[in-house]
Amino acid sequence: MITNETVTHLASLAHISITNEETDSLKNDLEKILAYVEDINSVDTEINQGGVSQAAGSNVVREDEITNDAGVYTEKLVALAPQKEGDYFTVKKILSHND
Amino acid sequence: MINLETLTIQEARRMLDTKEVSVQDLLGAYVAKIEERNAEVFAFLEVFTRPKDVARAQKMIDEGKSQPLTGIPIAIKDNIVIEGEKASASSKILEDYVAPYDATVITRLKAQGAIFIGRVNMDEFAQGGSTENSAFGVTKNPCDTMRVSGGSSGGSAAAVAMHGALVALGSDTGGSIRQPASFCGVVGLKPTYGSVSRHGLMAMASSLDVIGPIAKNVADTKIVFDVIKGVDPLDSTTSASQAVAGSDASIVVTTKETYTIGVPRAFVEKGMDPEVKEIFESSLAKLAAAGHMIVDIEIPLFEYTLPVYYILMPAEVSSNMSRYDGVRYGGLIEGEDLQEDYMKTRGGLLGAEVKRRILLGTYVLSSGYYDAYYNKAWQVRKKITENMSKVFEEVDLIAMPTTPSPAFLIGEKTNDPLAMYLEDIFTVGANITGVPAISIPAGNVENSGKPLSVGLQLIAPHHKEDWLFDCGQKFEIL
Repeated sequence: MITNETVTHLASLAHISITNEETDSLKNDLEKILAYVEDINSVDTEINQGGVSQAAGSNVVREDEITNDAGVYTEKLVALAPQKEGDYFTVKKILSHND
Repeated sequence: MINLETLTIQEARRMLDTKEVSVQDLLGAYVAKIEERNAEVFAFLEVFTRPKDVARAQKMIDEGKSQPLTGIPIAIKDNIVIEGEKASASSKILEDYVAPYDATVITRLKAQGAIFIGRVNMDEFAQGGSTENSAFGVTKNPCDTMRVSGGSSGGSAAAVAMHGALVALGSDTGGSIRQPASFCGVVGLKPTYGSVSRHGLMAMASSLDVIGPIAKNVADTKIVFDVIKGVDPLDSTTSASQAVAGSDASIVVTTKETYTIGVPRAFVEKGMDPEVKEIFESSLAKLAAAGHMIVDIEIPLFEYTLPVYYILMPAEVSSNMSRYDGVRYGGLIEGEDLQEDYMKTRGGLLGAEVKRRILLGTYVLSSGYYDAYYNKAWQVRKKITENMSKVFEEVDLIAMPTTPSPAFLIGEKTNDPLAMYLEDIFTVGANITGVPAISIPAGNVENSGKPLSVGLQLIAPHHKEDWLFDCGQKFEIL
Protein backbone atom coordinates (compact mmCIF):
# COMPACT_ATOMS: atom_id res chain seq x y z
CA MET A 1 0.00 0.00 0.00
CA ILE A 2 1.58 3.24 -1.16
CA THR A 3 0.44 6.40 0.59
CA ASN A 4 1.40 10.01 0.03
CA GLU A 5 3.55 9.68 3.16
CA THR A 6 5.41 6.71 1.59
CA VAL A 7 6.19 8.85 -1.46
CA THR A 8 7.37 11.79 0.66
CA HIS A 9 9.56 9.46 2.70
CA LEU A 10 11.09 7.85 -0.42
CA ALA A 11 11.75 11.30 -1.88
CA SER A 12 13.54 12.41 1.26
CA LEU A 13 15.63 9.20 1.28
CA ALA A 14 16.55 9.89 -2.35
CA HIS A 15 17.26 13.59 -1.68
CA ILE A 16 14.68 14.81 -4.17
CA SER A 17 12.31 17.68 -3.43
CA ILE A 18 8.85 17.04 -4.88
CA THR A 19 5.73 19.17 -5.05
CA ASN A 20 2.33 18.07 -3.74
CA GLU A 21 1.18 17.55 -7.31
CA GLU A 22 4.13 15.29 -8.01
CA THR A 23 3.42 13.35 -4.81
CA ASP A 24 -0.12 12.53 -5.95
CA SER A 25 0.87 11.37 -9.41
CA LEU A 26 3.91 9.43 -8.14
CA LYS A 27 1.69 7.64 -5.65
CA ASN A 28 -0.64 6.50 -8.44
CA ASP A 29 2.23 5.50 -10.74
CA LEU A 30 4.13 3.56 -8.07
CA GLU A 31 0.96 1.71 -7.05
CA LYS A 32 0.28 0.62 -10.63
CA ILE A 33 3.86 -0.37 -11.35
CA LEU A 34 4.29 -2.29 -8.10
CA ALA A 35 1.01 -4.15 -8.67
CA TYR A 36 2.39 -5.21 -12.04
CA VAL A 37 5.88 -6.31 -10.91
CA GLU A 38 4.55 -8.13 -7.83
CA ASP A 39 3.73 -10.98 -10.21
CA ILE A 40 7.23 -12.37 -9.74
CA ASN A 41 6.28 -13.59 -6.28
CA SER A 42 4.25 -16.35 -7.90
CA VAL A 43 7.48 -17.87 -9.27
CA ASP A 44 8.91 -20.74 -7.24
CA THR A 45 12.54 -20.09 -6.44
CA GLU A 46 14.55 -22.48 -4.31
CA ILE A 47 14.90 -21.46 -0.68
CA ASN A 48 18.66 -21.98 -0.74
CA GLN A 49 19.17 -20.08 -3.97
CA GLY A 50 20.39 -16.96 -2.19
CA GLY A 51 19.82 -13.60 -3.73
CA VAL A 52 21.80 -11.17 -5.75
CA SER A 53 25.14 -12.33 -4.34
CA GLN A 54 24.75 -15.79 -5.86
CA ALA A 55 22.72 -14.92 -8.91
CA ALA A 56 24.90 -12.08 -10.13
CA GLY A 57 28.01 -14.20 -10.52
CA SER A 58 31.46 -13.65 -9.10
CA ASN A 59 33.35 -10.44 -8.66
CA VAL A 60 36.26 -9.57 -10.91
CA VAL A 61 39.22 -8.43 -8.85
CA ARG A 62 42.51 -6.87 -9.83
CA GLU A 63 45.59 -5.53 -8.13
CA ASP A 64 45.13 -2.10 -6.58
CA GLU A 65 47.81 -0.43 -8.64
CA ILE A 66 48.43 3.29 -9.00
CA THR A 67 48.19 4.09 -12.71
CA ASN A 68 48.83 7.83 -12.71
CA ASP A 69 50.86 10.47 -10.92
CA ALA A 70 49.11 12.17 -8.04
CA GLY A 71 47.21 15.30 -9.02
CA VAL A 72 47.40 15.00 -12.81
CA TYR A 73 43.63 15.07 -13.21
CA THR A 74 42.82 17.39 -10.30
CA GLU A 75 42.58 20.66 -12.18
CA LYS A 76 40.47 19.17 -14.98
CA LEU A 77 38.04 17.52 -12.58
CA VAL A 78 37.70 20.34 -10.06
CA ALA A 79 37.01 22.74 -12.94
CA LEU A 80 33.69 20.89 -13.48
CA ALA A 81 32.39 21.59 -9.97
CA PRO A 82 29.69 24.23 -9.49
CA GLN A 83 31.44 25.45 -6.31
CA LYS A 84 35.16 25.13 -5.67
CA GLU A 85 38.09 26.67 -3.90
CA GLY A 86 41.59 25.88 -5.11
CA ASP A 87 41.88 22.11 -5.47
CA TYR A 88 38.73 21.43 -3.45
CA PHE A 89 35.02 21.04 -4.05
CA THR A 90 33.17 23.22 -1.58
CA VAL A 91 29.80 22.58 0.06
CA LYS A 92 27.79 24.43 2.67
CA LYS A 93 28.59 23.80 6.32
CA ILE A 94 27.64 20.20 7.23
CA LEU A 95 27.69 20.35 11.03
CA SER A 96 26.06 23.27 12.77
CA HIS A 97 25.37 24.20 16.38
CA ASN A 98 21.68 23.87 16.96
CA ASP A 99 20.47 24.75 20.43
CA MET B 1 27.23 13.55 -56.14
CA ILE B 2 26.94 11.30 -53.10
CA ASN B 3 23.66 9.45 -52.67
CA LEU B 4 23.33 9.42 -48.88
CA GLU B 5 20.12 7.40 -49.00
CA THR B 6 21.83 4.27 -50.26
CA LEU B 7 25.35 4.85 -48.98
CA THR B 8 26.89 2.11 -46.83
CA ILE B 9 30.18 2.02 -44.93
CA GLN B 10 31.73 -0.26 -47.53
CA GLU B 11 30.70 1.99 -50.41
CA ALA B 12 31.87 5.11 -48.55
CA ARG B 13 35.16 3.29 -47.84
CA ARG B 14 35.62 2.63 -51.56
CA MET B 15 34.79 6.23 -52.50
CA LEU B 16 37.17 7.64 -49.87
CA ASP B 17 40.02 5.26 -50.67
CA THR B 18 39.77 5.85 -54.43
CA LYS B 19 39.66 9.63 -53.79
CA GLU B 20 36.27 9.88 -55.45
CA VAL B 21 35.30 11.96 -52.42
CA SER B 22 37.30 13.55 -49.63
CA VAL B 23 36.59 13.12 -45.92
CA GLN B 24 35.47 16.76 -45.88
CA ASP B 25 33.11 16.23 -48.87
CA LEU B 26 31.47 13.27 -47.21
CA LEU B 27 31.11 15.07 -43.88
CA GLY B 28 29.82 18.18 -45.68
CA ALA B 29 27.11 16.15 -47.42
CA TYR B 30 25.88 14.81 -44.06
CA VAL B 31 26.03 18.22 -42.37
CA ALA B 32 23.97 19.68 -45.24
CA LYS B 33 21.39 16.94 -44.73
CA ILE B 34 21.28 17.70 -41.00
CA GLU B 35 20.73 21.39 -41.76
CA GLU B 36 17.88 20.42 -44.05
CA ARG B 37 16.07 18.00 -41.74
CA ASN B 38 17.08 18.54 -38.12
CA ALA B 39 14.75 21.47 -37.39
CA GLU B 40 11.85 19.12 -38.04
CA VAL B 41 13.19 15.79 -36.74
CA PHE B 42 15.42 17.05 -33.90
CA ALA B 43 17.78 14.08 -33.84
CA PHE B 44 20.92 16.16 -33.23
CA LEU B 45 21.47 18.22 -30.09
CA GLU B 46 24.73 19.56 -31.52
CA VAL B 47 26.79 19.20 -34.67
CA PHE B 48 30.48 19.08 -33.81
CA THR B 49 33.23 21.01 -35.60
CA ARG B 50 36.36 18.88 -35.38
CA PRO B 51 38.66 19.91 -38.26
CA LYS B 52 41.67 18.10 -36.78
CA ASP B 53 39.84 14.76 -36.94
CA VAL B 54 38.97 15.43 -40.59
CA ALA B 55 42.57 16.32 -41.47
CA ARG B 56 43.93 13.29 -39.64
CA ALA B 57 41.48 10.92 -41.33
CA GLN B 58 42.33 12.36 -44.76
CA LYS B 59 46.04 11.95 -43.99
CA MET B 60 45.51 8.29 -43.04
CA ILE B 61 43.72 7.72 -46.35
CA ASP B 62 46.33 9.64 -48.36
CA GLU B 63 49.10 7.57 -46.80
CA GLY B 64 47.28 4.35 -47.61
CA LYS B 65 46.69 3.61 -43.93
CA SER B 66 42.92 3.68 -43.90
CA GLN B 67 40.97 1.47 -41.49
CA PRO B 68 37.37 0.30 -41.96
CA LEU B 69 35.98 3.45 -40.27
CA THR B 70 38.51 6.10 -41.38
CA GLY B 71 36.58 9.22 -42.40
CA ILE B 72 33.17 7.65 -41.66
CA PRO B 73 30.73 10.12 -40.01
CA ILE B 74 29.27 8.69 -36.80
CA ALA B 75 26.60 10.22 -34.55
CA ILE B 76 27.12 9.66 -30.82
CA LYS B 77 24.38 9.24 -28.24
CA ASP B 78 24.51 12.04 -25.70
CA ASN B 79 25.40 9.68 -22.82
CA ILE B 80 28.78 8.62 -24.29
CA VAL B 81 31.63 10.99 -23.48
CA ILE B 82 34.10 12.58 -25.91
CA GLU B 83 36.90 14.63 -24.36
CA GLY B 84 36.25 18.35 -24.75
CA GLU B 85 32.67 17.96 -26.02
CA LYS B 86 29.41 18.44 -24.16
CA ALA B 87 27.61 15.30 -23.02
CA SER B 88 24.33 15.94 -21.24
CA ALA B 89 22.43 12.63 -21.37
CA SER B 90 19.61 14.99 -22.47
CA SER B 91 19.27 16.13 -18.87
CA LYS B 92 19.05 19.64 -17.41
CA ILE B 93 21.40 18.53 -14.66
CA LEU B 94 24.24 17.99 -17.18
CA GLU B 95 23.23 20.71 -19.64
CA ASP B 96 26.67 22.37 -19.58
CA TYR B 97 28.82 19.34 -18.74
CA VAL B 98 31.95 19.09 -20.89
CA ALA B 99 33.56 15.66 -20.73
CA PRO B 100 37.16 15.53 -19.44
CA TYR B 101 37.97 12.14 -21.02
CA ASP B 102 37.09 9.76 -23.85
CA ALA B 103 34.86 6.71 -23.44
CA THR B 104 36.69 3.52 -24.47
CA VAL B 105 34.45 3.15 -27.54
CA ILE B 106 35.45 6.70 -28.54
CA THR B 107 39.16 5.89 -28.10
CA ARG B 108 38.70 2.87 -30.35
CA LEU B 109 36.83 4.88 -32.98
CA LYS B 110 39.46 7.64 -32.84
CA ALA B 111 42.20 5.10 -33.52
CA GLN B 112 40.30 4.25 -36.71
CA GLY B 113 40.04 7.89 -37.77
CA ALA B 114 36.23 7.91 -37.53
CA ILE B 115 34.52 11.33 -37.61
CA PHE B 116 32.19 12.25 -34.73
CA ILE B 117 29.58 14.30 -36.55
CA GLY B 118 27.52 15.29 -33.54
CA ARG B 119 25.73 14.23 -30.38
CA VAL B 120 22.19 12.96 -30.63
CA ASN B 121 19.07 13.20 -28.52
CA MET B 122 17.80 10.52 -26.13
CA ASP B 123 15.43 9.99 -23.24
CA GLU B 124 16.99 11.62 -20.18
CA PHE B 125 19.71 9.29 -18.83
CA ALA B 126 18.39 6.66 -21.28
CA GLN B 127 15.19 6.30 -19.26
CA GLY B 128 12.26 5.98 -21.62
CA GLY B 129 11.10 4.42 -24.84
CA SER B 130 10.17 7.38 -27.03
CA THR B 131 12.77 10.19 -26.61
CA GLU B 132 9.86 12.23 -25.19
CA ASN B 133 11.76 12.30 -21.88
CA SER B 134 14.59 14.45 -23.27
CA ALA B 135 14.88 17.75 -21.42
CA PHE B 136 15.56 19.45 -24.75
CA GLY B 137 12.70 18.29 -27.01
CA VAL B 138 11.21 15.25 -28.71
CA THR B 139 13.00 13.48 -31.56
CA LYS B 140 10.38 12.80 -34.22
CA ASN B 141 10.24 9.77 -36.43
CA PRO B 142 11.76 10.71 -39.84
CA CYS B 143 9.22 8.39 -41.55
CA ASP B 144 6.23 10.18 -39.96
CA THR B 145 6.97 13.23 -37.83
CA MET B 146 3.68 12.91 -35.93
CA ARG B 147 5.16 9.79 -34.38
CA VAL B 148 7.94 9.04 -31.92
CA SER B 149 11.35 7.85 -33.03
CA GLY B 150 11.40 5.39 -30.16
CA GLY B 151 13.89 5.40 -27.37
CA SER B 152 15.93 5.79 -25.53
CA SER B 153 18.37 5.95 -28.49
CA GLY B 154 15.75 7.77 -30.61
CA GLY B 155 18.23 10.41 -31.77
CA SER B 156 20.69 7.73 -32.92
CA ALA B 157 18.06 5.86 -34.95
CA ALA B 158 16.52 9.04 -36.38
CA ALA B 159 19.96 10.44 -37.30
CA VAL B 160 20.67 7.36 -39.43
CA ALA B 161 17.12 7.18 -40.84
CA MET B 162 17.15 10.84 -41.92
CA HIS B 163 20.60 10.31 -43.52
CA GLY B 164 22.25 12.67 -41.04
CA ALA B 165 24.98 10.14 -40.25
CA LEU B 166 26.18 6.91 -41.82
CA VAL B 167 26.01 5.11 -38.48
CA ALA B 168 25.36 5.96 -34.83
CA LEU B 169 26.20 4.64 -31.41
CA GLY B 170 23.38 4.01 -28.97
CA SER B 171 23.04 2.22 -25.65
CA ASP B 172 20.61 -0.57 -24.78
CA THR B 173 19.45 -1.38 -21.25
CA GLY B 174 15.99 -2.82 -22.02
CA GLY B 175 15.59 -2.31 -25.75
CA SER B 176 16.91 1.22 -26.25
CA ILE B 177 18.82 0.39 -29.45
CA ARG B 178 16.47 -2.19 -31.00
CA GLN B 179 13.11 -0.46 -30.43
CA PRO B 180 14.06 2.90 -32.04
CA ALA B 181 15.83 1.02 -34.85
CA SER B 182 12.60 -0.91 -35.46
CA PHE B 183 10.48 2.29 -35.37
CA CYS B 184 12.80 4.19 -37.75
CA GLY B 185 13.40 1.39 -40.27
CA VAL B 186 17.10 0.84 -39.55
CA VAL B 187 19.25 -1.94 -38.06
CA GLY B 188 20.17 -1.92 -34.36
CA LEU B 189 22.47 -4.31 -32.50
CA LYS B 190 22.43 -4.92 -28.76
CA PRO B 191 25.69 -6.81 -28.20
CA THR B 192 26.37 -9.45 -25.54
CA TYR B 193 26.55 -7.85 -22.08
CA GLY B 194 30.22 -7.17 -21.37
CA SER B 195 31.40 -7.49 -24.97
CA VAL B 196 31.71 -3.70 -25.36
CA SER B 197 33.28 -1.54 -22.67
CA ARG B 198 30.92 0.76 -20.77
CA HIS B 199 33.76 3.00 -19.60
CA GLY B 200 32.58 6.52 -20.48
CA LEU B 201 28.93 5.52 -20.86
CA MET B 202 26.81 7.28 -18.24
CA ALA B 203 25.53 4.43 -16.11
CA MET B 204 21.82 3.74 -15.97
CA ALA B 205 21.41 0.09 -14.84
CA SER B 206 24.88 -1.38 -14.65
CA SER B 207 23.98 -5.07 -14.83
CA LEU B 208 22.11 -4.46 -18.11
CA ASP B 209 23.73 -1.52 -19.98
CA VAL B 210 25.58 -2.11 -23.24
CA ILE B 211 26.72 0.16 -26.10
CA GLY B 212 25.92 -0.86 -29.67
CA PRO B 213 25.63 0.42 -33.25
CA ILE B 214 22.65 1.57 -35.30
CA ALA B 215 23.13 1.54 -39.08
CA LYS B 216 21.35 1.12 -42.40
CA ASN B 217 22.19 -2.52 -42.84
CA VAL B 218 23.54 -5.53 -40.99
CA ALA B 219 27.00 -5.41 -42.59
CA ASP B 220 27.54 -1.86 -41.30
CA THR B 221 26.56 -2.79 -37.73
CA LYS B 222 29.08 -5.62 -37.89
CA ILE B 223 31.87 -3.30 -39.05
CA VAL B 224 31.24 -0.94 -36.11
CA PHE B 225 30.77 -3.74 -33.57
CA ASP B 226 34.08 -5.33 -34.59
CA VAL B 227 35.82 -2.02 -33.84
CA ILE B 228 34.20 -1.20 -30.49
CA LYS B 229 34.12 -4.68 -28.88
CA GLY B 230 36.82 -6.23 -26.74
CA VAL B 231 38.36 -6.47 -23.30
CA ASP B 232 38.99 -3.17 -21.49
CA PRO B 233 40.85 -2.96 -18.17
CA LEU B 234 38.61 0.03 -17.33
CA ASP B 235 35.44 -2.11 -17.36
CA SER B 236 35.82 -5.36 -15.44
CA THR B 237 32.65 -6.84 -16.93
CA THR B 238 34.43 -7.04 -20.29
CA SER B 239 36.94 -9.55 -18.95
CA ALA B 240 34.33 -11.34 -16.82
CA SER B 241 32.17 -11.73 -19.89
CA GLN B 242 35.05 -13.15 -21.92
CA ALA B 243 35.99 -15.51 -19.08
CA VAL B 244 32.44 -16.84 -18.89
CA ALA B 245 32.46 -17.42 -22.61
CA GLY B 246 35.75 -19.28 -22.28
CA SER B 247 37.00 -17.28 -25.20
CA ASP B 248 38.87 -14.16 -26.13
CA ALA B 249 38.06 -11.36 -28.52
CA SER B 250 39.91 -13.02 -31.37
CA ILE B 251 37.85 -16.22 -31.39
CA VAL B 252 36.14 -16.91 -34.68
CA VAL B 253 32.51 -18.03 -34.59
CA THR B 254 31.78 -20.48 -37.37
CA THR B 255 28.76 -19.39 -39.35
CA LYS B 256 26.23 -21.87 -40.76
CA GLU B 257 24.55 -22.41 -44.10
CA THR B 258 21.15 -22.49 -42.43
CA TYR B 259 20.00 -21.87 -38.88
CA THR B 260 17.51 -23.49 -36.55
CA ILE B 261 15.35 -20.62 -35.35
CA GLY B 262 13.08 -20.98 -32.34
CA VAL B 263 9.86 -19.01 -31.98
CA PRO B 264 8.32 -18.68 -28.49
CA ARG B 265 4.80 -18.68 -29.95
CA ALA B 266 2.73 -18.59 -26.79
CA PHE B 267 4.75 -15.66 -25.49
CA VAL B 268 4.81 -13.50 -28.61
CA GLU B 269 1.24 -14.05 -29.69
CA LYS B 270 -0.23 -12.52 -26.57
CA GLY B 271 1.09 -9.04 -27.17
CA MET B 272 1.37 -8.44 -30.91
CA ASP B 273 -0.72 -6.05 -33.00
CA PRO B 274 -2.37 -7.89 -35.95
CA GLU B 275 -0.31 -5.96 -38.53
CA VAL B 276 2.94 -6.72 -36.67
CA LYS B 277 1.93 -10.38 -36.49
CA GLU B 278 1.35 -10.44 -40.23
CA ILE B 279 4.85 -9.10 -40.95
CA PHE B 280 6.40 -11.42 -38.36
CA GLU B 281 4.72 -14.48 -39.88
CA SER B 282 5.78 -13.52 -43.39
CA SER B 283 9.38 -13.03 -42.15
CA LEU B 284 9.33 -16.53 -40.69
CA ALA B 285 7.88 -17.92 -43.92
CA LYS B 286 10.67 -16.28 -45.93
CA LEU B 287 13.33 -17.69 -43.63
CA ALA B 288 11.76 -21.14 -43.87
CA ALA B 289 11.61 -20.91 -47.67
CA ALA B 290 15.33 -20.05 -47.66
CA GLY B 291 16.06 -23.33 -45.90
CA HIS B 292 16.20 -22.27 -42.27
CA MET B 293 14.35 -24.46 -39.81
CA ILE B 294 11.61 -22.68 -37.85
CA VAL B 295 10.57 -24.47 -34.67
CA ASP B 296 8.16 -23.64 -31.85
CA ILE B 297 9.83 -23.26 -28.49
CA GLU B 298 8.91 -22.36 -24.96
CA ILE B 299 11.23 -20.39 -22.70
CA PRO B 300 9.85 -21.14 -19.24
CA LEU B 301 9.25 -18.01 -17.11
CA PHE B 302 10.06 -15.69 -20.02
CA GLU B 303 6.82 -13.78 -19.36
CA TYR B 304 8.46 -12.59 -16.13
CA THR B 305 11.33 -10.77 -17.86
CA LEU B 306 9.45 -7.47 -17.90
CA PRO B 307 8.47 -7.43 -14.19
CA VAL B 308 12.01 -8.57 -13.29
CA TYR B 309 13.37 -5.74 -15.41
CA TYR B 310 11.14 -3.12 -13.81
CA ILE B 311 12.45 -4.12 -10.38
CA LEU B 312 16.18 -4.51 -11.05
CA MET B 313 16.52 -1.58 -13.45
CA PRO B 314 15.00 1.09 -11.13
CA ALA B 315 16.99 -0.34 -8.20
CA GLU B 316 20.21 0.17 -10.15
CA VAL B 317 18.98 3.54 -11.45
CA SER B 318 18.34 4.81 -7.92
CA SER B 319 21.89 3.90 -6.98
CA ASN B 320 23.56 5.22 -10.16
CA MET B 321 21.64 8.52 -10.14
CA SER B 322 22.81 9.36 -6.62
CA ARG B 323 26.02 10.78 -8.11
CA TYR B 324 24.11 13.75 -9.52
CA ASP B 325 24.18 15.88 -6.39
CA GLY B 326 25.39 19.28 -7.57
CA VAL B 327 28.73 18.93 -5.78
CA ARG B 328 31.35 17.52 -8.13
CA TYR B 329 29.87 18.33 -11.55
CA GLY B 330 26.58 19.24 -13.19
CA GLY B 331 24.02 21.85 -12.25
CA LEU B 332 23.33 23.18 -8.77
CA ILE B 333 20.25 24.90 -7.34
CA GLU B 334 21.18 26.39 -3.99
CA GLY B 335 19.11 26.13 -0.84
CA GLU B 336 19.59 27.17 2.78
CA ASP B 337 21.91 24.32 3.69
CA LEU B 338 23.63 21.32 2.10
CA GLN B 339 20.59 19.08 2.49
CA GLU B 340 18.47 21.65 0.66
CA ASP B 341 21.14 21.99 -2.03
CA TYR B 342 20.77 18.28 -2.76
CA MET B 343 16.98 18.29 -2.61
CA LYS B 344 16.51 21.35 -4.82
CA THR B 345 19.19 20.37 -7.32
CA ARG B 346 17.80 16.87 -7.85
CA GLY B 347 14.16 17.94 -7.56
CA GLY B 348 14.59 20.83 -9.96
CA LEU B 349 16.98 19.44 -12.55
CA LEU B 350 15.94 15.78 -12.96
CA GLY B 351 12.93 14.96 -15.13
CA ALA B 352 9.69 13.21 -14.12
CA GLU B 353 10.59 9.73 -15.41
CA VAL B 354 14.04 9.77 -13.76
CA LYS B 355 12.44 10.75 -10.43
CA ARG B 356 9.79 8.05 -10.84
CA ARG B 357 12.45 5.39 -11.35
CA ILE B 358 14.64 6.64 -8.50
CA LEU B 359 11.69 6.45 -6.09
CA LEU B 360 10.61 3.05 -7.38
CA GLY B 361 14.19 1.80 -6.96
CA THR B 362 14.44 3.32 -3.50
CA TYR B 363 11.23 1.48 -2.58
CA VAL B 364 12.26 -1.99 -3.83
CA LEU B 365 15.64 -1.65 -2.11
CA SER B 366 14.25 -0.42 1.18
CA SER B 367 14.37 -2.50 4.33
CA GLY B 368 11.34 -4.79 4.52
CA TYR B 369 10.81 -4.93 0.75
CA TYR B 370 14.32 -5.86 -0.40
CA ASP B 371 13.73 -9.63 -0.23
CA ALA B 372 10.29 -9.58 -1.79
CA TYR B 373 11.35 -7.45 -4.73
CA TYR B 374 15.07 -7.07 -5.37
CA ASN B 375 16.35 -10.45 -4.17
CA LYS B 376 13.38 -12.28 -5.63
CA ALA B 377 13.88 -10.57 -8.98
CA TRP B 378 17.52 -11.69 -9.08
CA GLN B 379 16.48 -15.27 -8.34
CA VAL B 380 13.91 -15.21 -11.12
CA ARG B 381 16.48 -13.60 -13.43
CA LYS B 382 18.86 -16.46 -12.75
CA LYS B 383 16.18 -19.05 -13.51
CA ILE B 384 15.21 -17.34 -16.77
CA THR B 385 18.88 -17.20 -17.79
CA GLU B 386 19.24 -20.94 -17.14
CA ASN B 387 16.07 -21.64 -19.11
CA MET B 388 17.36 -19.54 -22.00
CA SER B 389 20.64 -21.52 -22.05
CA LYS B 390 18.67 -24.77 -22.26
CA VAL B 391 16.67 -23.44 -25.20
CA PHE B 392 19.93 -22.58 -26.97
CA GLU B 393 20.95 -26.25 -26.73
CA GLU B 394 18.05 -26.95 -29.12
CA VAL B 395 18.08 -23.92 -31.43
CA ASP B 396 20.72 -21.57 -32.87
CA LEU B 397 18.66 -18.40 -32.75
CA ILE B 398 15.38 -17.11 -31.36
CA ALA B 399 13.06 -14.91 -33.42
CA MET B 400 10.57 -12.42 -32.06
CA PRO B 401 9.11 -9.13 -33.22
CA THR B 402 11.16 -6.21 -31.84
CA THR B 403 8.06 -4.36 -30.64
CA PRO B 404 4.37 -5.19 -30.22
CA SER B 405 3.33 -2.31 -32.51
CA PRO B 406 4.83 0.18 -34.95
CA ALA B 407 5.84 3.72 -33.84
CA PHE B 408 3.11 5.32 -31.74
CA LEU B 409 1.93 8.93 -31.82
CA ILE B 410 3.81 11.60 -29.89
CA GLY B 411 1.98 12.07 -26.58
CA GLU B 412 0.04 8.81 -26.89
CA LYS B 413 1.64 7.12 -23.88
CA THR B 414 3.16 9.97 -21.88
CA ASN B 415 0.48 9.92 -19.19
CA ASP B 416 0.65 6.19 -18.59
CA PRO B 417 4.13 5.02 -17.51
CA LEU B 418 3.06 1.36 -17.36
CA ALA B 419 1.77 1.43 -20.95
CA MET B 420 5.14 2.86 -21.99
CA TYR B 421 6.95 0.11 -20.04
CA LEU B 422 4.96 -2.61 -21.84
CA GLU B 423 6.64 -1.43 -25.07
CA ASP B 424 9.76 -3.28 -23.84
CA ILE B 425 8.03 -6.67 -23.58
CA PHE B 426 9.98 -8.33 -26.43
CA THR B 427 13.31 -6.59 -25.89
CA VAL B 428 14.15 -6.80 -22.16
CA GLY B 429 14.67 -10.59 -22.27
CA ALA B 430 18.01 -10.19 -24.05
CA ASN B 431 19.18 -7.70 -21.40
CA ILE B 432 17.99 -9.81 -18.48
CA THR B 433 19.89 -12.83 -19.85
CA GLY B 434 22.83 -10.86 -21.32
CA VAL B 435 22.60 -12.36 -24.82
CA PRO B 436 23.02 -10.41 -28.09
CA ALA B 437 20.04 -9.40 -30.24
CA ILE B 438 19.53 -7.48 -33.44
CA SER B 439 16.54 -5.68 -34.97
CA ILE B 440 16.31 -5.74 -38.76
CA PRO B 441 13.62 -3.98 -40.85
CA ALA B 442 11.09 -6.67 -41.82
CA GLY B 443 8.33 -4.73 -43.54
CA ASN B 444 6.04 -1.72 -43.38
CA VAL B 445 2.62 -1.11 -41.94
CA GLU B 446 0.64 1.39 -44.01
CA ASN B 447 -0.78 4.05 -41.76
CA SER B 448 -2.69 6.95 -43.35
CA GLY B 449 -0.45 6.68 -46.36
CA LYS B 450 2.81 6.76 -44.46
CA PRO B 451 4.70 3.47 -44.24
CA LEU B 452 5.77 2.60 -40.69
CA SER B 453 8.62 0.17 -40.28
CA VAL B 454 8.44 -2.99 -38.19
CA GLY B 455 11.53 -4.91 -37.12
CA LEU B 456 12.33 -8.60 -36.86
CA GLN B 457 14.38 -9.39 -33.77
CA LEU B 458 16.91 -12.22 -33.82
CA ILE B 459 18.48 -13.33 -30.54
CA ALA B 460 21.64 -15.46 -30.27
CA PRO B 461 23.58 -17.21 -27.48
CA HIS B 462 26.28 -15.22 -25.64
CA HIS B 463 29.08 -14.02 -27.96
CA LYS B 464 27.41 -15.38 -31.10
CA GLU B 465 26.94 -11.95 -32.71
CA ASP B 466 28.39 -13.42 -35.91
CA TRP B 467 25.32 -15.68 -36.22
CA LEU B 468 23.10 -12.60 -35.96
CA PHE B 469 25.12 -10.86 -38.68
CA ASP B 470 25.19 -13.92 -40.91
CA CYS B 471 21.55 -14.87 -40.58
CA GLY B 472 20.58 -11.18 -40.59
CA GLN B 473 22.35 -10.60 -43.91
CA LYS B 474 20.67 -13.68 -45.37
CA PHE B 475 17.30 -12.31 -44.20
CA GLU B 476 17.92 -8.82 -45.60
CA ILE B 477 18.10 -10.06 -49.18
CA LEU B 478 14.97 -12.23 -48.97
